[in-house]
Amino acid sequence: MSPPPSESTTKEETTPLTLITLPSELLEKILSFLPLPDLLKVGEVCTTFTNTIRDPLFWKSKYNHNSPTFSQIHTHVASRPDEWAVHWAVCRHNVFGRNLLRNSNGQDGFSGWNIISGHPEPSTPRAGWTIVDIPYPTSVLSNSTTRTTCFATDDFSCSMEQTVDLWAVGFTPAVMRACIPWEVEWGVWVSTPSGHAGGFYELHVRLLSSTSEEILTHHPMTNSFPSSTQSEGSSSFSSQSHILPESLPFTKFSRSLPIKTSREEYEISKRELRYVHFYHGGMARGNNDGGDEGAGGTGPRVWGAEVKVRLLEGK
Amino acid sequence: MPFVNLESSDGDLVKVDVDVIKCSVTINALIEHLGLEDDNEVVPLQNVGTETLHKVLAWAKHHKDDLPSVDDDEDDPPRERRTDITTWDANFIKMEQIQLFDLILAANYLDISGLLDLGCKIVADMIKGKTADEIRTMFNIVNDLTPQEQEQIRKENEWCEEK
Repeated sequence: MSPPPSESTTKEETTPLTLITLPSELLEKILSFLPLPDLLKVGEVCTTFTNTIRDPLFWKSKYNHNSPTFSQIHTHVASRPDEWAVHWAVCRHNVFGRNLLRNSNGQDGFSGWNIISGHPEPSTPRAGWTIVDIPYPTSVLSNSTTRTTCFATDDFSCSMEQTVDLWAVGFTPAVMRACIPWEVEWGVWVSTPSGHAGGFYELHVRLLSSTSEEILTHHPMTNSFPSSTQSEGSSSFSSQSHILPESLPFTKFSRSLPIKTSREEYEISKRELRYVHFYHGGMARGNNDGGDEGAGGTGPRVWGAEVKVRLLEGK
Repeated sequence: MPFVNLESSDGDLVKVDVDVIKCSVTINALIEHLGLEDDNEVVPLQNVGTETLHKVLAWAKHHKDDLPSVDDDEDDPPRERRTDITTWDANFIKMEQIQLFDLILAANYLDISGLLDLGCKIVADMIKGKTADEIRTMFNIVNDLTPQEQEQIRKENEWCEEK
């Protein structure tokens, strides 16, 4: 006769009950009550904790209405080792598909933007950036039902910049690696106010490494922006343009950096993609003929500035 | 209302009003399954010690008249975990860690969601805002991560750190 199987329960009796010896589903439940920032730290404690929060299913209950669903992300990352980091980025920062630039239409004054030239000076209205109503009814602007204001440049050079730290909004190297294919896209809408002589507009978007080295630059040629009375073909130099039936001359400058293969991702990650530096500005062309001296905002207007990270279809 | 005798894993019998323990899905099922009709019938609970059983019953008695908790709807995120804990519960739950974990195990075994949530929330509160080192000290956890793993995790966490 073979000896009876050893009692597996004897070991349990000698193991003191601690947080770590609780059944995994209970540890999971406990950790699920923690705020998201604490969950990062918890991963540093020991392998049991690390494995708990790295289990993709742990994140399912953390998703909220405003983000993609857990299964969308789960399918997209297809169980790559860093899948948990993607869930964290979605739950904590809602990183995909949202505009990472702040205050893109001047709805919060100038907050978020660093003004390089043309500091707004309410006392001298023609000397800098102003915030005005978008010169078109919102119904004709695509995806813009909530936009009502925009930044207006003036007779003198106006420029502003904003930097997005991709890592700080959850798009860390681990996430970039895990969620191929993806793209970083950016864009901005520009127009000249009707009745004015047009003007100049410059966009300069740079993708930078963690040490601020340039990885990619998008710098459409500085061009004369045609006046609103000769609107057709106003956007020959932009990579994407929109001309409305009424020939209202507003134009979108946009571009994206798609990363579709591990090879591409490797090249980008080797260079530590981290920041998107968004700089733009402009001024009115020449002197306008009298009449509106002191009115302000005679140069190109800009709105809808955006930087987004998006997941791409297909592998 | 009928009574039921619960037998703890220590072999002690505790007579309980069925109305008090109705919060336990497990006991309800056992009563139904065993077809208990007689007040002297015994429900054995192999996983719950006498001390813990008394705590569970104290909690159940206090919460006897609570409205039944609405089941968590899978389709109803965001799961804003309710962190409000009543004064009575806060006082009730003040105990040694080992008793607390015993209580959590018992609540899980007896399937009492309110008590299980309370226990888990309290432990989560103990973890909240602490560094990895502080968490290890508090729960007597041995760091079994290799230096390489630790370095990797630390680096990834650094990437995520808020400005």
